Parts: sequence; structure tokens; C-alpha cells
Amino acid sequence: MTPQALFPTNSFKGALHLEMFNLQNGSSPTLLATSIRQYSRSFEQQQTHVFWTQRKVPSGIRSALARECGNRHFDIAHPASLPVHLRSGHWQQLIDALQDPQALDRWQQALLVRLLTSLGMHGCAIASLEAPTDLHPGSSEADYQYANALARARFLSHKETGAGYRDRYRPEDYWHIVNQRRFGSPAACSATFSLMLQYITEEPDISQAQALAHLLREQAQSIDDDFGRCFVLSVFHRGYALLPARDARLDEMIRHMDLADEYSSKVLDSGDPYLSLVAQENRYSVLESRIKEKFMIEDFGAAGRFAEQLLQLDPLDARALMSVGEAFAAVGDYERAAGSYSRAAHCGPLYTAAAWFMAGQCHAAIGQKEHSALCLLESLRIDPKAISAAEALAMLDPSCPTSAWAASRKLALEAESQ
Amino acid sequence: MTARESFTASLYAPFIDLSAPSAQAPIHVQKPLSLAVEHFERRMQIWTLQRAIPSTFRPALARQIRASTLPVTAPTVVAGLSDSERWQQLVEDVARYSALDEPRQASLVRLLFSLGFHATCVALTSNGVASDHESLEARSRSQERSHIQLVHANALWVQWIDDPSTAYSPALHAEVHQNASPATLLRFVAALHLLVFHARNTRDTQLIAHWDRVCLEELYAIEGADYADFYKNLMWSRYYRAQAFIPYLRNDQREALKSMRRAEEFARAMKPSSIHEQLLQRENIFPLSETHGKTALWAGDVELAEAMYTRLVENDPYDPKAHIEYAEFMCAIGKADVALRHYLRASLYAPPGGALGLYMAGQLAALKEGEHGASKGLAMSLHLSALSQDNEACAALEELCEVSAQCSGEEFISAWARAQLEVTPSPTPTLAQEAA
Repeated sequence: MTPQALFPTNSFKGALHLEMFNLQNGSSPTLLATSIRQYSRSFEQQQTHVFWTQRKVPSGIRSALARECGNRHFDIAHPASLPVHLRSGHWQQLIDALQDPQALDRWQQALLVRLLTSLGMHGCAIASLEAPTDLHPGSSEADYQYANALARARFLSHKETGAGYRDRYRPEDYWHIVNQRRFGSPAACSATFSLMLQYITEEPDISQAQALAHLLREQAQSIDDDFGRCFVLSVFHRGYALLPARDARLDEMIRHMDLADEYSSKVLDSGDPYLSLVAQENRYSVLESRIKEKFMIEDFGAAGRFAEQLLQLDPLDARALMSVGEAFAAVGDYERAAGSYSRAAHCGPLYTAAAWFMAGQCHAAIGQKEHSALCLLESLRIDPKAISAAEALAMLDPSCPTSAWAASRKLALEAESQ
Repeated sequence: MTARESFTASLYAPFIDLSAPSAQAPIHVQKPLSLAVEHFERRMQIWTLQRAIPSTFRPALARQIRASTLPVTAPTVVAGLSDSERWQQLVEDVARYSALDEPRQASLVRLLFSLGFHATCVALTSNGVASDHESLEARSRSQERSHIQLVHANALWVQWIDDPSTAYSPALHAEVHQNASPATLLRFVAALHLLVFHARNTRDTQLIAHWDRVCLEELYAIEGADYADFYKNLMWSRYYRAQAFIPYLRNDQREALKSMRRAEEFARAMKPSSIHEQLLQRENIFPLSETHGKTALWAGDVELAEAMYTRLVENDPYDPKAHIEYAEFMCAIGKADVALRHYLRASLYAPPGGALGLYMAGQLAALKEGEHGASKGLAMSLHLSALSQDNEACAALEELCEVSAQCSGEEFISAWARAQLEVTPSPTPTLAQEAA
């Protein structure tokens, strides 16, 4: 059965995210889809992967996609909830694996968790697979990779609840791996990086973050193979750059970002599909951070150049397009900014309402009122509670009926929020 | 989503639940509301048909407001959208149509017709149409029955425009003309329809001349009847506008413009004495401006054409069709930037014209020489937006194929659009119909 036959609408967005819906290979070029496809194939072929991808996929992505593509069948939290006629072969394999995950070996279990996490099904991963309780210094890398994947799923899931992830998340999941796993192993590096990031972004006391950073750098430098060392060093420097950024030590921040950039470029041509994905994904994160860094120092020209690179790397990724739009808008190139935001809206989800809103603002800035109004209305259609879009539309052209409607809509939303 | 949570739903509220539209709604949107007042409060008014809601309107509205529950072919009550008391009453009256008296039947089918429920109109009125065995006397006994017959003929005619296999025949309007009481607007309107029908479709000069003569006879009969001057002038204005077809078919630009000038004179002489008549006056300005503008452009008088098209949008500034017409005129005189803005306006106030406006704006954007290919990117975005409104918009797919093929790094969009073209029937029915 063709992807088009499986997918009930001929929506562009649906085709772009076909992997997310049912693991059907739609040849989508986005890194997000590539990552899902890679994990799916690796799981099927029982491959071993030691490095990790960094993109966080929120569980809300599924319901947003289903809503925007017009098919609620895909708004599911567990693979088995997908109606039988919409399941691809790979999807059925995923369901079968979830029926008895204990029958899988540790590498497969680790890949299964990563696959579910890349599909935005963290809750399903946590509910279906049990965290290992018998980890010890002699446990295998597969055991630690599995524990690490589950810790990440728990972290993502609890962070999304909005109730304060520290109340329910267990940092000891990561600490256990950091303390017990072989120094410099991929699992240990990944867990150390996760903890370092949390301490940098969440804790007022930086001593623990600094200790973890020191540990991660030492681990990275101890790695023998070039790919592993450069990858981990790139990840380290990008994460660590947040620490000087916290105190506005801009030169230090730039130095670390330059290093992250340099190391990320070194590993791009690995030849192996999985390692290429890991390297590209890392490059994506580095470029995204570089845009933010350049914004921080108000070097908008450099931000634009990094935005161009990001666009070349992942031209149909909504998040990348949002960053690119922001970079163009910052230098006053509203025409290109509007184009990037509109494209982000078509490539969504998750940023669709915000992308339409920003596109509307950019069109308004260059006097394209009609286009602006259409974008703002789209934003309100995607998110009927988007009060900023209602406000912008109300102020756009007072003589236009859209303004009168938006003004009353804004009042209604304000009343609702009170 | 409730009707008030969507701008389009608020603009077209009467079509959704017979509630009042936003204050600036287009003229044709206010008509169902007035007809609802006529039907439910039994306040009879003089109505004449100038603009029929096309069969594509309700499906387009459902798509636009993303309401799969909006009644499209029949006013079936659907929870959520159609819970208004009036809509419930409408549904009840449809169910007990045969038990209603003839004036109520007539006002009900007029209301249904104005809401775009053509199939329901045909189904209800088929039994009420006089059979061939009835005597002429019996047929003309009820003026209301003639009104019902007119709705029946009009509903079939609107369906026939979209689907030529529909069992419409001009004989149906001829029958209405024959059965209606002498010296009535109804009789003239039926004759006028036939004049226009033959001028547009059969182009049979004898039939055109015949119905032209009949129209004039009916108008002179109306002159002696007890109608206010407002309605007499309206009918004369409508006649001269239709009559311009005759010199047009002879390629006589001077005579066609002369007919249009006469139509304008009578339109100017219309002095409305009520809100209802003001609405009818504005409704007449739409086709008058449209035809006069087209005739002027054909005759090479661009200044006059521009004045007419400007009046068209000023008369009904939130009517998407007016903006489509204006944009087409601007394209014709080479003002692409203005045209693009008005195509987008049409899309803003759609339906009709949502996907069409975006597609045409995309076409114009692609022609622009933007820096860094920004205009091509904008064109692709507009075509994708057109497709999100109408996923069978084949023309937008074709353009998307073409524009994406011209840009580097757009292989996915290009391949997707090509794949869609293979499974989408061509040409696009909706865009083609809306363009027509």
C-alpha cells in the first residue's frame, strides 16, 4: 500500500510527517523524520547504536499534527491505539515488540525507548518498559544505554507536565550511570551531559555544574576514536557555553561556541548513516545555539549567516525555519522573515500558530495588510485562544471587518481568562 | 469551534444558523436573514433574484470554517452549529412542507434557495409544480404557486450550471412566465432569465429577439401596474443590462455601451424608501458595475472600466467576488501588485474565492522578481495555503510543481506536488467553477 493510500488526506504536512504517524517511509528530508526512520530500521535490524540524538520531541506534537492534518486517528499516546488499517509493517512490529518487551535484548530495548521518544510517546515508553534495578560497574554498555534512554524519557515526560519536573523526576537515574559506568563510555558521557545541562539551567549554585563539566571534558578527551571525541567535545562546549551566558561573560560564551562549531563540523562526513544522522543533528543544535548567541551579542549579520546554514541543513524543519525567520526579522528583512515563518507554519506542527502570528506581524511591518490579516486569522484558527493574534488583527486595519471581529474575540478571550 | 470563534463563521452566520452576521457582511449574506424574517414573521416583501448562491458555496464554507458538521446539501440539524431556534424551525418546516399553506411554502423555498440548499428546493417543489394535464386556468390560479415554480426552475438552473446533466430546461422558466399573472414582476423576471439564458448559452438570435420583445412587453405592462417607481426602475435597469448582450453578440461596442448607459440611468432613478429597498439597490449595483466595467474594457474605455470596478468594490467592500472581479481587471491592465492585494482580500472574505484568491496571488507572486527568491517562496506558501483550503486544487498543485522545480532545495515539495497531481483529477473542479 502506498503512503498516499495509507494516509487519508493529501495534506502536505501529513506527507512531510508520515514517519511520525505510522513509521511509513515517506522520504521526508527533515532530521526529525530521518531520526524516526533510522531508529525504526535499526530496531528492526537489531543494530547497536552508542551515540545519541539530542532533539527533544514533545508528546504534544502528535495531537497538533493530527489536528492540523485533519485526522484524529493519529492523535494517540500508544502505538496500539492506531486503527489497524492505518498501520504500516514497521508500526505493527513496534506494537508486537511492546507486547513483550522483556523478550528483547538490552540493545533492542534501548532502541525501542529511543524510537518511542522520537515519536513523542514518552509516556508509553515509561509505562511499558521497566527501569533496570541491578546496574553495577560490570554491567554492559547496552544495560547503561537502556537505563539512559529511559531516564531521558522520564525527564522529557515529567518536564512536560508543567507541575515542576524536579518533584517527580529522579536525577539519581542519571547519577547512577555517571558514577558507575566506565569513564568515557558513550552512556556515561550522555548522562553526564544531561546532568550538566540541568545543573546549568536549573540550579543557582554553579559548583555542581562546573564539576560535571570538568568530568565531561575529561571523559571526551579520553575517547580514542575521532568521531566519538569530536562529537562529545562539540556537545560539551555547546552545553557549557550556557554557563558564561548566564553571567553575561560573552567572550567566554563565544569561545565555547566557536569550539562547539569547530568540533561539530569535523564529524559531518562519517560515511555511516547512523553516525551521519548523529552528526547532523548535533550540527543542527550547534547552529541553532549560534543564532541565539549572535542575537545575544546583537551581531544580527552573523545570526543571519548561521540561519542560512541551518536552512541548508534542514530546509523543511519548522523549528529551524522559526529561528531563520527570527534572524531575518532582527535585521529588518521582513519579507524573507515572513517567508520563513509562513514556511514554518506549513511544515509544523507545534509552532504553527506562532509561525502564522509572526508571519502576520512581518507582513504588517512592510504594509502588506491583506497578507497579514490572512496569517493572523490562520493563527487564530490553529489556536482559537491566541489572544496576541486577536490583538494584532484588531489593530491592523480598523476599517476592516476582521478588526471588529478580532476586537470582540480579544474581549471574549480576556473575559475567559479572568 | 462555535460560530463566533471563526471570522468566516461570524461573517456568514446566516448560512450557519440563521443568526445575524457581522455588521459589515456582504449584501448577499443579509438576504437569507431578511428572507428568514419574511418566512418566520410572515412579513411579505418584494424579492427579485439577482444573485444565486452557487452549489459550491456551502461545501466551501464548510471547508473554510473547518466544520465537517455544517449542513451542506440539506438543512439537517447538526449538534453544535445548528442549535439556533430558527434553524430548528426551518428544519421542522421542511419536514412538514406539504402541510404549509402556499404563501408559507413559497417563503420557505425562497429562504432555502437563498441559503444554497438547491437540492432541497428541487425535492420540495417537484411535487408542487403544475403538471401538463392541468389547465392553464388552474395553473394561474395561485400567484404563490408561480413563485414556487420559479424557485424550482432557478434551483435546477443553478445545479445545471455546475452539472450540465441536471434536468434543467428553459421550458421551466417559460412555464413560469406563462403561468404568472399578467403585469407582474414575476412574469418579467422569468422572461428576463430566458433572454439572458439564450444570449449566454444557445446564442439563438431568433429566441433572443423573441424574449427581448417579451421583456419589453412585460415592462410596459408593469408600467401600468400598481408597483412603486423604485421597482419599475429596477426592472428597467435590469432589462437594459441584459439587453446589452444583443449588441455584444453582434460585436457592436457602441450599442452595448449605450444599453449600459440606459441601465445606469434607471439605476440612478431608483429612490429607495426602506432598508429593504436600499439593499435591493445595492444588490443591483453589483451586476451593473460588473457588466458595465467589462463592456467598457471590451470597448477600450479603461477609465470608465476602472470607475465601474472601483464602484463594484466600494458598493460591497467585503464581498469576495467583488475583489476577484477587481483583481482580474487590475491584471488585465497590468497592475499586478494591486491585483495581488485584492486576490488576498477575496481570500480573506471567502467563500467563494478562498483557494482561488490564494492561488492567483501565488501566480502573481511567482512572476515578481524578489530578492533571494523571496517571491518564489511566497508563491509556494500561497499555493500550499490554497491547497490547505481545497486539497483538490489541481491548478495550485501544478503551479507548486512549476515554482518548486525552479528553486534549488525544493525537491520534496516538488515531488509531493507531482505525486498529488497523479492522484488528483484534473482540471480542478472548484477553482474552475469559482473562476467561471
